Amino acid sequence: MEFEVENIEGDGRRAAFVVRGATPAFVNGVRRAMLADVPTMAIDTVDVYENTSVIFDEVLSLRLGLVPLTTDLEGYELPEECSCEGEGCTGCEVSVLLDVEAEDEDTTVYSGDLEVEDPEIEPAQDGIPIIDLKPDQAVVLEATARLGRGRDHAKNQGATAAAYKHLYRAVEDGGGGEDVLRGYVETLDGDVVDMSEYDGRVSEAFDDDVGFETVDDAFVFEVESDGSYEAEQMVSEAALSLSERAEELADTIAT
Amino acid sequence: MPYKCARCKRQTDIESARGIKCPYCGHRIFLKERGGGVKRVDVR
Amino acid sequence: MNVTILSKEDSSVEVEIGGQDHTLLNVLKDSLLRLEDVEAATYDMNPEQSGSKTDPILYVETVDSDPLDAIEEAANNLQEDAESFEEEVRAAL
Repeated sequence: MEFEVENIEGDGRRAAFVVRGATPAFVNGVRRAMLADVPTMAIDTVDVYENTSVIFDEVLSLRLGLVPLTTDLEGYELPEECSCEGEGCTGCEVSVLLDVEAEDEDTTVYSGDLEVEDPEIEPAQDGIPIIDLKPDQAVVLEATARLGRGRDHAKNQGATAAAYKHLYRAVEDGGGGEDVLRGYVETLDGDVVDMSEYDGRVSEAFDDDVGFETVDDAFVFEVESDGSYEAEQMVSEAALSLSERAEELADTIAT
Repeated sequence: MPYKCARCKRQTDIESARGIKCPYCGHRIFLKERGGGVKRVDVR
Repeated sequence: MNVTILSKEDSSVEVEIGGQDHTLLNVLKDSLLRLEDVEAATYDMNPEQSGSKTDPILYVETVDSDPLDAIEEAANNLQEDAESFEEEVRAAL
């Protein structure tokens, strides 16, 4: 397939782009890979030293697990693919500390209070509330973060949104018909416009007699990441994961 | 296993509390204390 | 990747592909169907009402070539496609 990718908008965590020259099966593979296969870092085990808060250790641990961490795929391996064979070593896990105490006033503990041993890894955002502490309550724990995949646990799903739809195209003398369109539409000049700029109103964006059709091999992707990756890296890792598996299959079949 | 009397808050041991009764104040409700040591939790 | 050939004739084959799901199989099926020699290609995620406890089975029928070669070619094409897509994405975004 000859692809053509055109960026529409995006900054860091969000991206919207058009893929031309693809089949529905291929873009769906990429979408599924983004949701389930691209590994992200997340807290996986927690050693609780002290917890005098009102929340059970298990609930607190689950909350910690759901905090998105920035992911460094260069620096870490999936535990099952690591040379330590899942034993746990510096190549596949990193330690995260939380040591908080509410002294004499109510305190909210935020994701930003987590201290990660490796400066490459940090909470993707600092302001996620984890727990409220009353005076004299304290939480002291050491957690271990590992890479994992979204298909095994939702905490490892890096894409908070990964969706595509066929690109709409305006055609001349289409006879109108549409009053409201959402999303991105290709104009007669071949530009892609965001209909939300016109509040979706077709009459404001196009001439009266313009009609619309879908473009068979063009898809508009909208991708949003939880902060583990930039959206662009998310898409690219998903494509690489597909290509690696295809390569592995081809090699296995050949032998 | 350490327990705490729910009324007088004093530590006691449930085995030595002949019947479930606080040796200090006679109260019959106890609170179980958090065990010592580190607790490992898997995030699942 | 654990690949087991369950049955093979001159122009058809049944292969069990370990540890994979729709993500790979559906794209692979699409890639197979775009090959000239491939008459039919499909896969079953839940063979024999297994409750998805087993691995997916891929079925391929070809006109007059080795169906295993077709799978290999389709996988190679898919790999190239995914790589060129990845390059395009990195260049464009």
